Amino acid sequence: MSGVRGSVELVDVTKRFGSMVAVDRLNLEVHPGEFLSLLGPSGCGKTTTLRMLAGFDQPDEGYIKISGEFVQGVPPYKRDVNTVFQHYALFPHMSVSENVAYGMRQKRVPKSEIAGRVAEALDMVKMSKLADRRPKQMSGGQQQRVAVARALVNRPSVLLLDEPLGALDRKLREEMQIELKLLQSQLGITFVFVTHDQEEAMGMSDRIAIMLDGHVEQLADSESVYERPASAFVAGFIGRNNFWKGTSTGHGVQASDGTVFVSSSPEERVAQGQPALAAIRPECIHLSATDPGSTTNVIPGTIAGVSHYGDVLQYVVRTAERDVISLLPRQGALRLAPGDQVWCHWEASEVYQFSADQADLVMAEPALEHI
Amino acid sequence: MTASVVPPKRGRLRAPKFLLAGPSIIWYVLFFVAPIAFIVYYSFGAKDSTKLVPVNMSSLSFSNYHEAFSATFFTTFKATIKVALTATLLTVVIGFPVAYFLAFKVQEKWRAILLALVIVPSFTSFLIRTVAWRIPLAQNGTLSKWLQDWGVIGGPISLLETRTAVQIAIVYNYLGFMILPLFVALDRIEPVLREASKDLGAGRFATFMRVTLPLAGPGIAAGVLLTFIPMCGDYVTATVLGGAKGNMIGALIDSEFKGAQNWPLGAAIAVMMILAVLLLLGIGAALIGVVRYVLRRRRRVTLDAGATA
Amino acid sequence: MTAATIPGTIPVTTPSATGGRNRKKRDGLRIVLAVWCVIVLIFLFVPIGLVVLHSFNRGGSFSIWSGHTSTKWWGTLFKASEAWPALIEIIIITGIGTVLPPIIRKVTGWHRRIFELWFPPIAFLVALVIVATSTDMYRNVFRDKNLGDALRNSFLAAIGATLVAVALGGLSGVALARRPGFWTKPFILTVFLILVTPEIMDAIALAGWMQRFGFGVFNSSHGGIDAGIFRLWVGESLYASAVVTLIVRARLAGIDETLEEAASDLGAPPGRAFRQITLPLISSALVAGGLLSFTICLDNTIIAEQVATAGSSTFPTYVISQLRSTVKPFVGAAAVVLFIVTIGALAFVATVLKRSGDSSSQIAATLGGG
Ligand SMILES: Nc1ncnc2c1ncn2[C@@H]1O[C@H](COP(=O)(O)OP(=O)(O)O)[C@@H](O)[C@H]1O
Ligand SMILES: [Mg+2]
Repeated sequence: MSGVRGSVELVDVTKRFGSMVAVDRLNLEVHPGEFLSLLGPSGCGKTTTLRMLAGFDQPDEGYIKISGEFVQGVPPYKRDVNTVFQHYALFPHMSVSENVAYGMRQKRVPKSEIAGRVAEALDMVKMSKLADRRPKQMSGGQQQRVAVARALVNRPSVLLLDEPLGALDRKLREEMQIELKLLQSQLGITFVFVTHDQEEAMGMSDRIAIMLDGHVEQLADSESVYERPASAFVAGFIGRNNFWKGTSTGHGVQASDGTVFVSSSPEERVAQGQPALAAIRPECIHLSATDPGSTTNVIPGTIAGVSHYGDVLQYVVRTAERDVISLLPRQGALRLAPGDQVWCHWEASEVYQFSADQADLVMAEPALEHI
Repeated sequence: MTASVVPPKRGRLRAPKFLLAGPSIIWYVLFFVAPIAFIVYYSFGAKDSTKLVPVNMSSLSFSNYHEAFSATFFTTFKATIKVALTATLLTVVIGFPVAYFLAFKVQEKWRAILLALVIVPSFTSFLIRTVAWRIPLAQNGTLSKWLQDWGVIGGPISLLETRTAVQIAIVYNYLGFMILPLFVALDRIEPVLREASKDLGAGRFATFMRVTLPLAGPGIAAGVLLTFIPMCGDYVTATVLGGAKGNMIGALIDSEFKGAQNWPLGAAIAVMMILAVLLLLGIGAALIGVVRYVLRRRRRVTLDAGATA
Repeated sequence: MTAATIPGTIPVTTPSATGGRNRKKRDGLRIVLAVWCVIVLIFLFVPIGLVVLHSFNRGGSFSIWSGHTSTKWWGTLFKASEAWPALIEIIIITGIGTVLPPIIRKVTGWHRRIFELWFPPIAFLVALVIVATSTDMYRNVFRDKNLGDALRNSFLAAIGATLVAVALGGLSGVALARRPGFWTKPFILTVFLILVTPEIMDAIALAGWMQRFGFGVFNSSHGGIDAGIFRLWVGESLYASAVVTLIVRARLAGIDETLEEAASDLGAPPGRAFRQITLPLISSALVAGGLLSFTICLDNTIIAEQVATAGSSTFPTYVISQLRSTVKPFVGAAAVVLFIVTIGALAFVATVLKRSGDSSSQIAATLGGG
């Protein structure tokens, strides 16, 4: 059995709260020693999934295996899994070291061993100096480290983390991302990491499970979810995208404003004549001041706004139907000003085609709100 | 701390900060602090029935306190404390599971209804609820009949006018006032802390002892205070149900003041009662302190310097 | 890493991969606790049920059940010919007070939360006053003159004490939450002492104090109101104002002071900021605290026993005096009437708090003493 220690498997797991379906036939497999992120918008069921893994909630349907064993009905305190809670949930009436020792005391680890392991764990998260502090006397980042130590010191086969960095400011968050990733690769413990921050997920994970409405939309590594999004939702959620709605032409989309998108992808995602979405990432949209003279993969418009982001420039181009966002490297970019007439164009290889099922979902947000 | 840095705010009431509380302060000094100070003062005087205020303060002495320690008074004293302690214990034992159930084990929609069902009887007339106990406790009363029907007892019993009656009714009267603070104390514990405990391998019992109970501790203490102290001075229950055998200290004070017109003695008993209550609370607090100290010592983790460095 | 053994057993019935419904594990502890809770609730309600039942006792004693029901003691309590019109009058006036604000809102669109909040209890008070003064209700309605007077005194004392308590508690609650300072700690300590001091202590102290220092009110009647009623206003207001203070403080402590600061930032002078921001914020606490005070005062026995004079004995005092002989069932009937008033007040408290956004737990906290 030691071969599967740290593996997690969810099969057709469903969880309802009253009539509300929080997790809907979710399937997921986590490899031993893997850093897997559950990524999705708030309310998509990430926390609920994690709580079922930890044993706080029981699935209504489906089953869960941890380290190869069914955990149906196994209470949280008998699971070889520990959790880093969203707001840390440190015991306010105990000092840092008492908090960290708590789990081992439950397992009746000898006192002499506890002291050593607590010291080691606190050392690991660089919190040895504050061992006698109370949680209330510490900053968010320090509490966060203690929460990690408190969970890891038990040497669980799987560590569950529920948006552990959500409450930290940006700089601290980036530091902790690196440290957590480092810890994980040192210890080889399976991490199931919940986040709604796509950059965080992309940067840290071996694989990402992108969730929507209680199920997994796509499970793949960072590059795949970016390069080959399985659905329009994933395409819009990972990075940013410009979407057009139209009709499938087989290997392309004829948008309602007349623009024709031609894709070079060999696979035909939507049957010809069906409603479809075309998507192009802002960084793949080129601008030129003259008409490129092509009838496909081009759309005319005027510059509505320019923003400077250090090494990239963002243009908002007003076209007949909608605003198009283009991100261009500062170096070699045309100097365009609002009001200038431009043509947006792109390579056929950059055109994604999706079914129009999620059109409302991805097109509801005005592109500008994403900035 | 940062006061020196913050510029003074304009447009805020800066005139005496307690101005709004002024009326209350005057009211409380005039009708709470001063009268009670006078009671303490009277307790050193002597009875003088000829005056409107039947107290002679010309020579102050401890004689009323000597009398308060006499056998009859002392017996009632002890009995009162015993009834109050027993009742506090019983209300905690009976009330805690209810509070626990309401705080952790019941669905939200039921909780409101159940809480209302605890609140309503607690806030209906204390006196009438006490008088109501005359019905089951009377000779040939409901309780006596039921117990005979079930064959628990052979003949009719009469609990009325006994200390048992007082004990039962005091538990009843204060139960709701124990359940509410206990519930509030438990309800304020963040659920995630109990989950964290279970996540770290603590079973139900360990979670209860190590997380729930310590966190609810202050609230439980408040509940105990809010019931134990009034119980010690309760005189309605004893008057209505206790008769001569079930006398409590509150009723004794009342009879000294209204019946015997011996204000100084009544005042001395009242002062003694307060002192006794304070003493008991002190002992209780000390006990809790010792227990907590021992528990904390057991819990403490001493990191040896070698491993830390 | 040591390979720890994985706890947990494979369930006897392997869940099917097609997602069969998982049976909920039964929580034994929860069932035990639920049963216990029900038993305790029954225990809490049995005596109250007995009071209601025995008010319909045909026999001549409140405590001994005759085996037959009868409404005759209710007839003894009330003069039906007087009681029904008075009751209807009260209900009509209170009812108008309750439905008027929503109707005004519907018709004219004008509405103020404060208006809707305060109108029903004020209408109830107005109804009581109108009915009682226009017809000498308490003597006409209740056959037993002493009982009628006692009930009147109870209501009169409770209303006055409540008004005092709301005024004092409202001000000091605001002061505690918004103007903390060196005085806060001793003040809070006094408030807690008032709450926990055995009432007998307060009562004898006040009785002696008022006998000695009359201040011109406590020993002589004014405007047809007995001196004892003034004494009760003071005596009963102590505990009640402590309750209101804590409720108001708790309400304000939960609300950021930046609201008031924003108001003054927008140009409202302190007085107006208080009236337009603070007062609406605490008015639900004031109404709730006031009604709570009212029920507490209505029931006050110990203060009333010690402090009241012969001409101002209240319902509890009356009941205690009845205990010396056989208690008649109509006393139980009067108690039932007071139950109904109390439950009505509590229900209103709950509604007010609920509408101001409290959960049932917060309401329990309010009633349980903060
Ligand atoms: N205890 C609960 N009772 C009712 N609904 C819940 C409960 N927990 C979660 N939900 C609902 O389930 C959905 C998923 O919640 P959650 O798993 O917390 O989402 P996420 O963590 O992805 O933001 C949400 O719509 C939430 O409102
Ligand atoms: Mg969440």
